[in-house]
Amino acid sequence: MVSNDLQIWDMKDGMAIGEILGSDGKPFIDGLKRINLRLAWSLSVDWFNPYGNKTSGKKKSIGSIAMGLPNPPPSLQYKAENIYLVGIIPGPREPALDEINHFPHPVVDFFLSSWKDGTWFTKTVKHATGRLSRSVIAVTVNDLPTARKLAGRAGPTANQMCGLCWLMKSDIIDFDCERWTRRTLEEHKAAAEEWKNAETKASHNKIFKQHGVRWSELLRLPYWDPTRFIVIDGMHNLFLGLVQHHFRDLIVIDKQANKELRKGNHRPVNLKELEKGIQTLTSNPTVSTMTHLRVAVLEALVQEYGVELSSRTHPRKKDMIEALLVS
Amino acid sequence: MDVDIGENELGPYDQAFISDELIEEYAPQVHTAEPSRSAEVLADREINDIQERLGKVRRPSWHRGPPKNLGEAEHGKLKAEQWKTSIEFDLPVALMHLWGAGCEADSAEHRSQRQKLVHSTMLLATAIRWGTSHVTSPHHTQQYTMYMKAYLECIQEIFPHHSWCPNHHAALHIPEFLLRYGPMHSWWMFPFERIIGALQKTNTNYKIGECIVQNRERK
Repeated sequence: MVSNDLQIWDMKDGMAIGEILGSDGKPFIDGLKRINLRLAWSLSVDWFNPYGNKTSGKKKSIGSIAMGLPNPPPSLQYKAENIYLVGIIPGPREPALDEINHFPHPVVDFFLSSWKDGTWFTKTVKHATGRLSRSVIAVTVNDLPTARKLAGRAGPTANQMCGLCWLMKSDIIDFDCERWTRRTLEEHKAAAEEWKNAETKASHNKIFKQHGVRWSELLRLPYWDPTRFIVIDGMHNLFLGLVQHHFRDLIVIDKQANKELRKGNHRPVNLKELEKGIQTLTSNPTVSTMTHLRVAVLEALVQEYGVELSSRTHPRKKDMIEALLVS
Repeated sequence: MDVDIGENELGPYDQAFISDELIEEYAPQVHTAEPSRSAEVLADREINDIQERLGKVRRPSWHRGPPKNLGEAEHGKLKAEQWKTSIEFDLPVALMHLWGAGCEADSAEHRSQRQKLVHSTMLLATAIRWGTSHVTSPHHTQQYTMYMKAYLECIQEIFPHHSWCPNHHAALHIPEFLLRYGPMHSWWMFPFERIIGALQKTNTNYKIGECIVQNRERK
């Protein structure tokens, strides 16, 4: 199989850490060659409801900014006591669009000077005469919407849906990942600078519409690259994303959801019902008059008129009515 | 159509996850007939069978599996950890028992539909296994990409009108991060979510977003 040299057991073995340059232009982490302390951090911003996850009840959203330190061995990296809670983003709602920039601002201030000049500790346990420490943010770990917000990018539902490549939402079915065109740091930085220098709200919107990019505070860090430092989080993407979708929306493991699907399918549509459906549809109906029709009738109408359904594998009544009324 | 995973493409490791037997068992029988909607729907009986299988699983004390009544409304949302165990062991095994060899079905169409579903589940499970290994390498990422693509193409075939999410696209970007940052365990959100869990349990005065200075001014 593969030779052992190529195996990667820890973040420090990956290519990314070695690529980060220090303010002197040399690799930031270079083994144990120097006396001063070099730390590479991971940054994670996430939102939660302080009132718990009950579906009923109040919905507020506050944020946490937390950091982990990948320098120690993997077994120690993410012990709860080794996670640094940097700050809380007060609620009661998520900051919208570029408002979020106010919160990483002090973090970036600190990391900028820590990368450039370092912090001098006058005495440490092992270094009685003092030691210099430098830090970088080596990786940011977020769910998809927050990742985009932090990078200053359009959200994942926008037409420019991906922050890493140029694939548009309309081409989402293209799985040939070797042929996707990568976005580059230069493109992103140029667009973000342009957005930052624009003075009016209208010109902000215009630039955003064109490039899908806003200014992001993290861009102040000279080594930080939004197209390479923001990972796709496996927990959200694979387990809460793909796996959940697979079992709940494709296999449909919920009894209730299956019952609804079955209801719509049981009784076949007869001609009389279909005629009545067409009559309703052509009489300039409202949403509520359309709701009186059975799911099966609506499905037949959708087929009859060749209406494109924009969403989901098992369309609901509401989706079909919307699509029919628009057409 | 034929399922894309021929025996020759499988490495020695894969056999731990998909045995040759199982592939022989169902791969040749998969064909193009587009399933009708009624074939897609799971009967309550099938869900009960899955629940029964889940109930029989004995697991280590620290291991949190899916709820035993999976499929009922009562259990609420599953945690990421529960979806993780579900795809790593419980559901592929339960579905294979149910719809794999010797599956009883009302019709050939019904049977083929179920087998395609179980096949796609196995492809997803295999991709995730390669992607979340504690060690990674260019070989791991190649395997991940191969199985993930096969999974997506399989779903595309079973549900031609399926609406894809940005997550499906993003999943194919994961390999580059495996090479850049190493095994996923050092850059996924589980540890950070634990901090959030602790924060959520903190007692508050239920005045979220109002700051203390504001309260003083009111006096």
